[in-house]
Amino acid sequence: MDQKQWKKAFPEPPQSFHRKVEATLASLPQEKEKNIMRIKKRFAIPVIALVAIVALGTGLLGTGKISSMIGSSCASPTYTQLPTAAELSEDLDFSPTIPPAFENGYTFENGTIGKESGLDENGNVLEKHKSLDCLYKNGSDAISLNVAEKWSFPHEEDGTVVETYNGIELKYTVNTYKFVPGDYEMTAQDKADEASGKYVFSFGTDQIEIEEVQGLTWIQDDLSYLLMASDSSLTETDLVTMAKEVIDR
Amino acid sequence: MDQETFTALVRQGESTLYRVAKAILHHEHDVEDAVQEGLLKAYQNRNKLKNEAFFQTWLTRIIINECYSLLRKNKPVRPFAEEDLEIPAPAVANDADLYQAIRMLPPKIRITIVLYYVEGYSTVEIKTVLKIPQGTVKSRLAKGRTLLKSILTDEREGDCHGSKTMEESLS
Repeated sequence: MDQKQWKKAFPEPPQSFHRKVEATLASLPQEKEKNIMRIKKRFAIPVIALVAIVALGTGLLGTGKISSMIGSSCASPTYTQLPTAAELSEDLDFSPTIPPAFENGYTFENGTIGKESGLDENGNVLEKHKSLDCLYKNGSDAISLNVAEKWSFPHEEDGTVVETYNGIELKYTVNTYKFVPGDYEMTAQDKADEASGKYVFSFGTDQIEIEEVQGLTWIQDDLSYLLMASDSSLTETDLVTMAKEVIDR
Repeated sequence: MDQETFTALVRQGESTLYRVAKAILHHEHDVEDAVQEGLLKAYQNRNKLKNEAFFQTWLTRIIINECYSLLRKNKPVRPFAEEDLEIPAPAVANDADLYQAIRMLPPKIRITIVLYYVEGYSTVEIKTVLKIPQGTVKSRLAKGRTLLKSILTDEREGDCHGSKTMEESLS
């Protein structure tokens, strides 16, 4: 009896399996993105890394801890116009506050639904959430507003509390990221820079780039909000003001 | 490894992923979940694979780990072990008999048999994938062959549709 006959004895993979594989492959983070999507990706990476750092610092989640995160989203934006609360509720199972524009001129450009998975050190998925990543542009400058369901692991060390507004803590972080290609081999200097905190390394870009990334996070109605600005002229105070606009809506 | 290559290699081995996961897990949705998680993990760690020639073996190992991880995490998930021994073999074609017989094997023997006979892995590759000594691979194969013969012979004695001899089936 040859291998073909053995295989024939097994049932063919059902269509549902094929669809799941294809959906998984389609949800893998895009590597070759252009213009706006590339900008979005570059925003998304620090989001992931930021949470990973927090997780490492905050310890246990159930029986494990999140040591890394995978984020994925569709290559094309889900929304090119501001979605309604009903649309968001149907697509995300939650309805975040998404302003059409901020008073400082940043205006909604598009929004993309993605998935975020928190992994332990062995790569086991501990938690999964849907997320919405919105891009706001002001001329050539862009910022991202990311909203996801609140993670189970503690957020106490998620940045420095810079203000408490209406009972909501606003936490700020700033890091210098070194974005490198996926197959980049870290040098001894890179490892030293990472150990010293000079750079946070993020893999997956086409070229090596160094950027300062600011993040402001808060929890509102069991949703985790994150405003992210990369190499931006916006200051910590500006981000706080923008966060307050979202909270007040 | 770029995303395009990863995607192409996964599609190329999609049926293998299904059969391997199905050899460990019973329910289709568990199979799908395990493969999905395995693919995400593999993609995240794809740059750790130094030689793409070993992709399928490497991915198979990850999928097997995911399947066992799912079994450990979700106790209600039912591997088709003892309970399935009670499932009567269907009185249908030989392929179905063989599949049912494979399903009745103990889990560790079943995955070894599937990798060797169904997927065509060598004993050296199975040793790598399952992280067990090559001697253990061979002994599991021998045990599996004996059990399959026994199961299929029992079926045939209680059934009149069998036409292949066990030697034909397991040669």
